Amino acid sequence: MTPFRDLPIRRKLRLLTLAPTVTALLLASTGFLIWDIVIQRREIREDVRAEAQVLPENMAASITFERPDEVDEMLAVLEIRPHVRHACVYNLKGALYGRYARQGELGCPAAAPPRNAFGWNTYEVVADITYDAEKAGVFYLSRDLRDVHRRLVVGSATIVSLLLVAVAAALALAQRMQRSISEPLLDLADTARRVSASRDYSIRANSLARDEIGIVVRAFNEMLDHIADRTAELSKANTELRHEVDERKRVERDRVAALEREREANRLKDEFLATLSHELRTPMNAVLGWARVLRSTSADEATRERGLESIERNARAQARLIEDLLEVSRIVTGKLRLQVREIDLAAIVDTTVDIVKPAALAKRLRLTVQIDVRPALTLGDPDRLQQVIWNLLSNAVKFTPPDGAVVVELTRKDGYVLTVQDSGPGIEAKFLPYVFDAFRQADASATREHGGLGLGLAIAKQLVEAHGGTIEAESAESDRGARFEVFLPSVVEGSQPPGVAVEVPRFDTVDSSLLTGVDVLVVDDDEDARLLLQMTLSRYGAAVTTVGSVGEAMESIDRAVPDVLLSDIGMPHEDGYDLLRRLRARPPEHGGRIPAVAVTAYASSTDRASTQAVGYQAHVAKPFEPGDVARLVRRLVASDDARAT
Amino acid sequence: MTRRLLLTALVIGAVRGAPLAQDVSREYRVKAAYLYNFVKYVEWPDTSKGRILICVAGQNPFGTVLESLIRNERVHGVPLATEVIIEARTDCDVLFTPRTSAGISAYLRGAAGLPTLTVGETPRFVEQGGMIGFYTDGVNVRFEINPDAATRAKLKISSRLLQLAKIVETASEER
Repeated sequence: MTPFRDLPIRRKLRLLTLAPTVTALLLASTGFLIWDIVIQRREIREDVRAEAQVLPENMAASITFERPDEVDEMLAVLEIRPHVRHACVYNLKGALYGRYARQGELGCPAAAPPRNAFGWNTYEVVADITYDAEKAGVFYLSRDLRDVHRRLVVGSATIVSLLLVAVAAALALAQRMQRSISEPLLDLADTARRVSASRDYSIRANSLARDEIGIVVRAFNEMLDHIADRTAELSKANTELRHEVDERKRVERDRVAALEREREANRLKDEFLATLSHELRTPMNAVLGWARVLRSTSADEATRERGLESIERNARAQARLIEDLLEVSRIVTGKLRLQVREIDLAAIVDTTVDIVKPAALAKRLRLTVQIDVRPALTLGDPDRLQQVIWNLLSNAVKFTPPDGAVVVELTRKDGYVLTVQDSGPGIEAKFLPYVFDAFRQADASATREHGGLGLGLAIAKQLVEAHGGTIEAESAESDRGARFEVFLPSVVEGSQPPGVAVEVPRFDTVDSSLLTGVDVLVVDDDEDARLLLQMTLSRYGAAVTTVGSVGEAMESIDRAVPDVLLSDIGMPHEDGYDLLRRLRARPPEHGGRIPAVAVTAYASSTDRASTQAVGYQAHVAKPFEPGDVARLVRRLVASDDARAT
Repeated sequence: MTRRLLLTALVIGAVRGAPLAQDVSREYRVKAAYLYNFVKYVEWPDTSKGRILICVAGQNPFGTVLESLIRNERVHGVPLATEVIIEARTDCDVLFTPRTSAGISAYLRGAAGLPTLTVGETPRFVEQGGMIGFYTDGVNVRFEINPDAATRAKLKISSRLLQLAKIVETASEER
């Protein structure tokens, strides 16, 4: 049996309604029944007592005058009283004197009972028969009480039936009325259970009532609101926290990676600087050494010739080195500009092969050239492409041991494919992915076998890609050689982008009459530079005047206005910019319009723009190619002449 | 109590030389008791005399039975007394005329107009103007009553007594 506390609320409410009803009904009915029985018994008592009073009064005379027949006759009157079982009269001697017995009832006892007895089945009354205060006999009457019992049974049955009907009615009513309490509560309990099971705080209990349960339900819903808000806030804070942690981790990772990259970059830079230093010093050493030898008068003609040759070669190597550096700088700063025109790739390959042929021959290498297309026409910057091809070829020659073989192929396939294959040691697999990276060399140690800055391939890659092509390196195994493949698209004439400067084709042959009759004024604080320009331009037939400062230059112009002015930029006191500003301030007849060329080691594009801004028509980077400078001067004079005429 | 009285009466009767109780017949013992009991069922118009006197005319057939029966007994709040009379008297409340007494009608005349309950045992006693007359029905002593005579004497006889008696109507005879 479940205790009342743990019963479901529906049953509790039902019990709450039923228990008082049933109890009240039972108490009332039982009370009524008992009262009824008490009343009835009292009535019976009164009734029987009256009977026992009236009858004996009349009998006294009959006994006194010895008329038992009269007594019997009087008792016979009791026939109309259905509940009298029997009635007896005894005389003074105690003998039975008269009797009455209902049909089927027992007769009178031999002697009268001593007193009244209100029994369960019978009520026995004993009364003296007196007349005028004198006792004449004893009257005894037995009243049947079974009708009372029947009435009790019938009454109880009626009450029980009424009770059942009342309980049923109460139950039906309670069933309907308890809903107003139990249903919101059950809904609340159900909601609480669902919320607890699903952790879904958006569920709400329903309540329309304005009673206390309604208040509880609304409070519960508000509590759920709070919990939902709190949970959402917590979850949001949690997410934010997680994001923050993730972000911090990412930042930390990035920072570590950046640090690593920086470290690596620093390492590479250090290596590069060491290499650069070495590479710059090596030719410098030869130049300086030979220069010292040549200054001594004892040197004979053959030695002088060898020395000069060595100086020139080393100086060129250094110039090449510096050019490479500048190239890289341009590529890195995104200022690489291609001088695009129609070119014949086959011719460029031929020329480049000719350049490296002496080195190959020196190492007894078999240099095979296979060119399937001729001419291989496309658009491109011939100098840059030559640079690329030269780089690949010189690498092949450099890395191939003596008596090896280098194969150069140019084929047509969608575009042009140039392949350079050597029989050298090849490229290590772990270095292969970095072969085109700047400042990277397979062997960066000071004792390495091969010199160079490690910039060649990086520059080659950038230049090829600038032409819309690709470059790839393969090396199947060590000792099986390396293979470089350059793809260049075949671009038809006319599709070249506008605005690309087209340079005058260059000729390597010295035309000694190119600058005949041209007066050139050279301004440079460095005497060697002045001398070099004077020598160079003189070879082309120009009349060259040299001065060491801006002041001297202005004096020279005052004396005679030259056709062209070549000036250094970086000079003490007054620089090349000052010179041009002062010059351009003059009227044309005093040299205000002289074409001017900046010849400077400041070779960046910014410098170039600055020089043009103050009035220089052209810019030549040191060190310069003598032919280029000559042709430039020629062109400037020609255009100046055209304008003048 | 009645038994004790009876016993006392018997003892006294023996002393006085009157007929002893055992000498008195069952018939008169019954009649003595009836006489005594009649007093109870009759109401007299005047009860201020202080006693009820039962007179036995002529010869006393009860011996000491009646006297001992009524001795110390009170009916209607007054004591009883019995006397044997030889001539009509006016102070008798009850007058019993045995069959052996002579001149019953003289006694009756003497009692006429008086509130005296006349009781007799002769066959035509109530027809002669008596109020209660004994008769024998086999072995049982019975009585008959002339209610009109009692009414004329201003006596009130209880209906319970009348119920037990044979009622004799003499009214027509009187008229």
